Amino acid sequence: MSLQHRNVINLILLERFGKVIADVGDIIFQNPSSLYNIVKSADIRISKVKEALSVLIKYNLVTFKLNVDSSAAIYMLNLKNVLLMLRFPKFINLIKTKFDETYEVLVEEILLKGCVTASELIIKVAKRLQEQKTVNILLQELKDNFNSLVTAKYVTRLSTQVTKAEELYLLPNLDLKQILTVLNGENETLSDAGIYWTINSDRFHQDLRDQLIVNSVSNKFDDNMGELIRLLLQQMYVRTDPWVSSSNPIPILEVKDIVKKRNTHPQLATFFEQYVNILEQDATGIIRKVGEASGGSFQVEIKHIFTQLTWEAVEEIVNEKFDSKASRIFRLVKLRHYIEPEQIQNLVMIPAKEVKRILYMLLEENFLVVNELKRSATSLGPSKSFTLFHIRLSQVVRTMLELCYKTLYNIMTRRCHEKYLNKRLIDKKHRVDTITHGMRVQGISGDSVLDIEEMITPPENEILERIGKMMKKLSLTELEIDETLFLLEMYLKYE
Amino acid sequence: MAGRGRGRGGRGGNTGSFNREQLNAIGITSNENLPGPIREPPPLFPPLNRKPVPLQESLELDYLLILRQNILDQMQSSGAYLRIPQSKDRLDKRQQEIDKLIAQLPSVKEKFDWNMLPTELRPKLIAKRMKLKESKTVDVNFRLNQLEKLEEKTEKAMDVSVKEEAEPDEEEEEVQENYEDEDMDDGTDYANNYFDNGEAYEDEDDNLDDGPIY
Amino acid sequence: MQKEDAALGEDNVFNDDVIIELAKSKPNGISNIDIKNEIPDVLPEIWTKSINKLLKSGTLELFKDKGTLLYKYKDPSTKTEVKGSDNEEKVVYKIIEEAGNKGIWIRDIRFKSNLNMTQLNKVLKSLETKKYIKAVKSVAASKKKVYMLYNLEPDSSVTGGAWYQDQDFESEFVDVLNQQCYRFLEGKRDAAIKLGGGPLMCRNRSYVTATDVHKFISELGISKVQLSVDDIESILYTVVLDNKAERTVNPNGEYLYRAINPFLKSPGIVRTTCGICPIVERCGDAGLINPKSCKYLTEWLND
Repeated sequence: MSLQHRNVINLILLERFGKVIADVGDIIFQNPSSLYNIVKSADIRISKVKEALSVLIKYNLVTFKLNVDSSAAIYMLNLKNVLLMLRFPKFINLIKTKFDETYEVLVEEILLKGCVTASELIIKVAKRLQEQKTVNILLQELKDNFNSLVTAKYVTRLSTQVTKAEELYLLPNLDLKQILTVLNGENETLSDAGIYWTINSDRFHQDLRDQLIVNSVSNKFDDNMGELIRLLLQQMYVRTDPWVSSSNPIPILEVKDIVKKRNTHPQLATFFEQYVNILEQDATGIIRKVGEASGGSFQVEIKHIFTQLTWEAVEEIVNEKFDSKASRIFRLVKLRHYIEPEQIQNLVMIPAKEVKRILYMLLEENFLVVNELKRSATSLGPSKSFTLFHIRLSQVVRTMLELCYKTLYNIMTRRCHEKYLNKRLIDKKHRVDTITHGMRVQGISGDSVLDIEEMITPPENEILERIGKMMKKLSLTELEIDETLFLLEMYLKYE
Repeated sequence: MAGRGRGRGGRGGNTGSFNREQLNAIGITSNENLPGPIREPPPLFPPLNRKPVPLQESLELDYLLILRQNILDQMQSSGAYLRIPQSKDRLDKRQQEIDKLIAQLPSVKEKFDWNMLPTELRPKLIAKRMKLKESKTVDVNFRLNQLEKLEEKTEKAMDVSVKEEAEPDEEEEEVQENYEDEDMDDGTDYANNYFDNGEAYEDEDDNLDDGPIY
Repeated sequence: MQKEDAALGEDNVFNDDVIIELAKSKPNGISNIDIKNEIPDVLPEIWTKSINKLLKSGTLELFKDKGTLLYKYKDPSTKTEVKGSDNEEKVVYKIIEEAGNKGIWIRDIRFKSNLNMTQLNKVLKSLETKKYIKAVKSVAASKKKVYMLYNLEPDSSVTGGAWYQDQDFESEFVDVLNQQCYRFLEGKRDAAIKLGGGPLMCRNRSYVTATDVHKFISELGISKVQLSVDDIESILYTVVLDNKAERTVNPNGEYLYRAINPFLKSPGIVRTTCGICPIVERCGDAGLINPKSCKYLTEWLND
């Protein structure tokens, strides 16, 4: 793996687990290692290394393979899962939007713990939400909601060597009485001890993927078309595995019925056939007609959709990184697959010198590649050699992925740095806030509170505001880059 | 004469260093626009003419930011965040005071299910305790076999057997106590670990800060 | 009076023929005074323009006789003979003549004539001086020239057509046209949406042909030169390449254009400076270019 990848993973671990675990993670990033080797390389006490590995395994970030002869194991870092942690806020928000607050808290607690038994999870969540409802109702609700999450495959059993595929989504045996006992502070053996649950990231990715498709289609066409594709995707699941490149045929009348019944999009209902026709005929090829019977059956071309979305994203990156002339040239090469520089100039209507300059730049940065073809000498002139420009999308995507990792690392580093530079002031503000909060809780208000608050001078407040703005910008950027990462990952997944 | 005008390159730009003959020797013949004299090294950060696309703003994004910060805060105050003990010779008095304060905070220890993890990762005490459980289990079976054999023996040795039975009973009770211990471990290991903190783990001073917390 | 009417022709546009007839009638040449006497009521600016045109096309030849400017009529039919020249010049002339108004590179003349460079240069110079041929700079290669017959109007592939002004590509002009074409397409689409009637009708109403756009552009009057429909077609293709329009073919074989939306908003990576940074390859923790002190990041953060 690359340096960028290594750096960003290190930072992600550092922020969440501290230096010890980050260092251990870095060692096994470079090479899967044994406990002994890690202790040697890390120069950390063995007890701490053991603890670090235990935490990492619990959070599904490290896997191990036991040696046949000894009880020693080789530890490997799960890179995908480390990066995944950047996406946790999106997962939580997804559940919140799709269901309600109790579901949201359940998922959040699983993410915070890495893996957990169902009973313990419910206990923890019940403690968090206990002010809202009476305990018995709450417990029942949490049990039902947890089971729903499992049935919908958002949550899965932790697979060990002994777990069979069918058991992954088997509902746990929950005894609410036991749970209540523990909640009240007493000890009790829980019926589902030893059965651990964790989130199923594929399932969350499925929803994020669908969301992306629906939003994209809405942007390109209109909201009605967005609704159409949403329902097509919904009906797709009835008969297709979630991760195939094209769906199995979906009879369009099914969708039409739903549209008419739900009545949320009257335009779509009125002009249903037209919308379907337009989507099918459109050059983007999002759906394909595969059967004529009863209004027709259609396939959703998911891989094809993501290819196009990726193209668009890459073109936009070229547009912003260089300029609109460069992206015009880039698109021409894409449309023609292979093209000579002489042919480019007239079609893009950019002066020859500039075309050459841009082609060179794009070549340097690996957005374009050249193929040289030689044709043998003719009777007239010297032998001609063709220079053909070409784009290898997979290669460009990988380059962009590295750029994302690097940018993430830079952004995270800068954020830590800014925090560090302003540590004194930030700590001061933190102390003031803690004190005033405490005062308010006790019911003190008025001048004494103001006195404390005035410990921070107006110029200091200005600086704090500026710092706050910076932090927000940097954190938002992290989320934005993860969006790009997701798109690129999806493209590579379908490749 | 030959150096007049032309030798300076077109557009009146002066090359400074070369005259016409020298330029010709290099291969620059026409009066193209030659770059001006270089007065200083090129800037490390060439001026960027464009600005990045502005970040999006929405309520949803604000909420995502809150979720994100919440996760980070929770993780940093959880048992999963490992700190290493500070070297004793921290001269910074202030930092030492802070260290002492932090040391007094109750720390949350991460709870593990040792069945999930390789045996080599178990801290010494836990390893011992589990080994003990295993050996106790063996004892029980062995004892039960012994009891069966004893029962098959004649009532002649009843006096003796009563006595002997008393022993296994005691041991069984002992074993049962250990079973309870085990239950306690599974159910509320947290409490046990908390108590174990200062005593069992090898020279653990790990309540001290190890530098900037990100 | 009659002469002026004839001169001005039907559309009140000045007719070159008057001049030509006058020149024909005086084979030794006509002067400005002669012209003025012939058509006194026509403004000099008007017939001067005509003279220039005729000179350029080779119908009139310029002479000086004792300090007076004279225009002589040149019969194009007599001009095919290359008088007073040797065989080499004849050969070269023929080669150039064959190239028509697209012209021919000097290198290609050499291959076809089998002359060496020195000889050829001599011949070309001689022909040029006698005004049988001329050299025209080609837009295809800014330093090279093509040779063609003296009185020919160079083909647009040589001059660059509407897009070139003296060998310079008019980038700004092209950009403006690009924007205006897109504006027109947008307008069509917005109008179609307003009219409603379902998605299919909207879509059909959004389509335009290059001719439609040509009309719009002409009416705007932003172009100094006359643009052809083909020119507009080229511009429209650049709008397609900008991902702002889509091009399809109608049953007649004409191209149809329509404004389109993109799928996505800008990707997250370009919302910070690292995504657009020109020196990102040199960025690392160790050097002068690093995330903690990066000037671009600093400016962006303080924005």
